[in-house]
Amino acid sequence: MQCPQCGFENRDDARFCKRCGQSLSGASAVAPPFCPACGAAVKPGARFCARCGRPLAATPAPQVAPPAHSPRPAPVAPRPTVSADARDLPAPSPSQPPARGTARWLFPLITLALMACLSCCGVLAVGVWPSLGETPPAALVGDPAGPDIAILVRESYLNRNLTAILPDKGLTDALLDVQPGNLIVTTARFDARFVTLELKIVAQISVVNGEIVIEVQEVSTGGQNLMDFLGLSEVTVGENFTGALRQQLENELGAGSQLLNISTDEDHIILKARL
Amino acid sequence: MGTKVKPGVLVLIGVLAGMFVGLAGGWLLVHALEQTVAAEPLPALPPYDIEVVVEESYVNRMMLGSNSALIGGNVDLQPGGGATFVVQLAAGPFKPVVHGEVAFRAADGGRMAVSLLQVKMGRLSLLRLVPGSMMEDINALVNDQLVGRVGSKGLEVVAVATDDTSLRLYLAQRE
Repeated sequence: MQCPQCGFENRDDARFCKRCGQSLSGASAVAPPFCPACGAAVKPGARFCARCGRPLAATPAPQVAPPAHSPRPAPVAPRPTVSADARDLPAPSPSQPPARGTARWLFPLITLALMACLSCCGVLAVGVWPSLGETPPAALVGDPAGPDIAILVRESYLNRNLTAILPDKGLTDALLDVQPGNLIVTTARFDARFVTLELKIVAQISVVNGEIVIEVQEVSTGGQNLMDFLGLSEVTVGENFTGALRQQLENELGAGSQLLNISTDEDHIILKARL
Repeated sequence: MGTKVKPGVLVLIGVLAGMFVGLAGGWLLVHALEQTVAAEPLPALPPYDIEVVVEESYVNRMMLGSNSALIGGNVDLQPGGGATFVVQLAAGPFKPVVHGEVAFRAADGGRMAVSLLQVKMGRLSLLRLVPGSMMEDINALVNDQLVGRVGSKGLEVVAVATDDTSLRLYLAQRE
């Protein structure tokens, strides 16, 4: 009789194994347990199969032999019950492929990476999502015929520039005073052929058909209006003074602008234009 | 020999860990991009020769006409040299709405500088993602459309201010 515990061949009438002392009598003799998954022999009391790692806790302890491999409950199993080290056994059944280290961790790693990507996309989507369903407020259109810009030219700036130009036009020591009501009052010395005149020039500025128009209303000296004398207003003041001022203002307006309106206050000439 | 673990448990651990790492990474990404630049205070108004008042409606027209990717939006000028904007972009099938804030300042060289203080698409801040070249393009456009179209040669921007309805450029003659 073969000992179910250690495989030692005892006499047929032996009640205990000669090698390990295992009881050999009756049906309670414990046959060597086998793994229900791969059929490998396992040591008594083992919790997991040494070959395939299958938990053996649920395996009934007195299992005689795997039913698929051993049709009769003989104590001597046809399997190589002698070898205790299951790793030396041949390959297990095809129904349970061996779990190699790389393959075992590959799937969780792929899952990890996939879930990380999905989660990032989810967070970004949650972050960006509100912007996709939003409607922006309408742009301010404004008055289609109204001005886009207003250019406020300071009196001091005009004086600085005009006094640099006017001496070439025969006017010296010019002082320009911007007044409300689109009025520009300028005092200057005019060097006539035999005499130097202290001139006061009053001009009104306006816009006609998008052009700056400076109309001289008064040219006087010592309270005497000189408008009708010697064509002074047309020749000297009209061309020299108003021409210089108009050129200066047009420069500030820039090319391509449509001048809509011009006005004055105490300190500025205000040009309103559409760009 | 180590204890063997069921593959199902490994998958479950992988999924949970992946979700945790993914959510944490996404949260960190969203918050790492979060950035708001504080606007510098406006300096005192220096002497100037010309004041150019630009209407808010023109700023809106200029912005919407500057880029075909903008299909709608609004610029709202704010007191203190800044503005907020809301624009809708055409990005393929999507039309996201971007909110932002800009500051206007006078820069070296007599030009006006536009700087981004904040750009957000939904809850995601895009300020760190805006390329420098894009801001250079915006600055070039604004200077061409505003500074370059007014004032005679020799004038440069010395200050910029805003109120609720207009952008004000202060130009001075170069010494």
